[in-house]
Amino acid sequence: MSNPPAQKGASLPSDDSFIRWSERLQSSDQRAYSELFEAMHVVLLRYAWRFTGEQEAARDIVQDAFLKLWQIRADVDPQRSLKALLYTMVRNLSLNHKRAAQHTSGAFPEHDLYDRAPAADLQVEASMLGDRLRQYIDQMPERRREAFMLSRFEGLSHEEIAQVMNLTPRTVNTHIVLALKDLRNRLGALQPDRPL
Amino acid sequence: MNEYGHTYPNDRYRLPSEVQASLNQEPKDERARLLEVWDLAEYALGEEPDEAAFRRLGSEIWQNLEAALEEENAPAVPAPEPGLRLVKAPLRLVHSRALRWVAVAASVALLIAVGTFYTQKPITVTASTGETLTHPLPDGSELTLNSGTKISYARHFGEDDRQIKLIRGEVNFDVTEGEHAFTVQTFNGTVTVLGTEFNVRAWPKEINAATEVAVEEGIVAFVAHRQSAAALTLEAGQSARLTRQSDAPIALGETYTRNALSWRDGGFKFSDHPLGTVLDELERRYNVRVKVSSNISLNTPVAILNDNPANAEEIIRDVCEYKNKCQYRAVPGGYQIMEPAAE
Repeated sequence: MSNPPAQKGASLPSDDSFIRWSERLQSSDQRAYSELFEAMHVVLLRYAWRFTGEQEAARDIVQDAFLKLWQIRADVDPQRSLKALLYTMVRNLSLNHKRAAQHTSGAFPEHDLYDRAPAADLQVEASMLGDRLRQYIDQMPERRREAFMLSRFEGLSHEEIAQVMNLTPRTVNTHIVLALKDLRNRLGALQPDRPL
Repeated sequence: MNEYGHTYPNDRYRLPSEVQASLNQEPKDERARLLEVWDLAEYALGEEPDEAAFRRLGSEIWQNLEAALEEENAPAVPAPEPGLRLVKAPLRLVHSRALRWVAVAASVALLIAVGTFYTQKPITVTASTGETLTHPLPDGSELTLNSGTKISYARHFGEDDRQIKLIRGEVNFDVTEGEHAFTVQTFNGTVTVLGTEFNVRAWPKEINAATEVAVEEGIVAFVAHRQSAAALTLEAGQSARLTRQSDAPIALGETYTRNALSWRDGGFKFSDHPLGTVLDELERRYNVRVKVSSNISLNTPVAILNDNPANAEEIIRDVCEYKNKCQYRAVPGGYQIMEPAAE
């Protein structure tokens, strides 16, 4: 088994940075807005892309989220996570986009969260594993899947996921642990001879 | 390395401490397997666009966000006098923007903080009201911007593509032949060429806002963003209009082409536009304000064909003669157009 592919994206700014940006946004500081955009636009675009599979849709979604953020800047609460707020806005806009796309096409869009060809540069074994993992993750209950993805792929903390999904951090933890055990059981069942 | 012997290239993807605490109840072997599954899950992501692709999208977004902020910074339009309608002139934005850039340039700290980002910022060019501006591009093409026009293009213009964004206004293009197609994007359409001379007019906030293209030389392709129909191909002398509501551009006559190209030589020619459009243009071109009494419809079509007007007043006089039923008078900063006095 090769190593997992390179981790994507540099580490995000600290919680303190987000608090300071919240405070500066409240006083309509455009420089804070610009810094926040610079720090977050790539991860948010990638997050929206994972929902929609379309770069243009991701662009519109992230743009709308930032426009909305500027409109509501006076009401941004530094006590609540600004990072989670951005993720929440992008998530809801992405879900709306997906619903609209399903509605107009009358069918599910071809692309779904994990309905993608595996990376070409991975070994065959790895890409088969990727296909299986995608399938298993796709078959999880919706909330469990989302909590797991926000934790594993977006790197959000339990508190942030709780804010995005409107759950308690405790429930978030339950979802993630169950998701992990689910994946472990299914991968284990697949390869009984080989210890995972 | 963590206690289980795994490395995490990035803390962001580390097993959250809460999950780890829950796993501590598991037997040691099982715990190690669950941790391995956490790592392996990375494979589920498959192939994704690279960071550069997202950064390009990001610079498009920022351009639009900046335009939105700029609109907000604009001073509120003063309340019109009773019985008068103020024709909006989006003029002073240009100055506030310029000042902001002086401040930006002065702030080394800011440049360090967001430096990587600003190097990706597109170049924007704005023609002040009351002037037209000639702007050479790195590929040797030349743009002439009508008054009040704003465009932008990438710092790496010509390397991968030749793309101009016409944010608002009217530009005359003299395009040199090049390796990459030359494209002009407006709020609702795209014009693509290989090497030619043409004019694109797109004021998103105008009455009956439309993108209008007139070709002087060569061939261009004009397509709506709402791409339900094939691109319209325009040859020398031809022109077309794409309104906000329509899905495809519609061809206009040769008269339109001639009129559309006249501004560059100092002409002021409109044969097919509403009064509001003509007055907006007049305000930008001469940096004046024109008030219109409320009983005159800004939607009335007017024809103004002046090859070389000496000043704004000459055009106002033409407008009133054409309409044959309005009067005008000079007021501070501009003109007022009203119904004729009762006979």
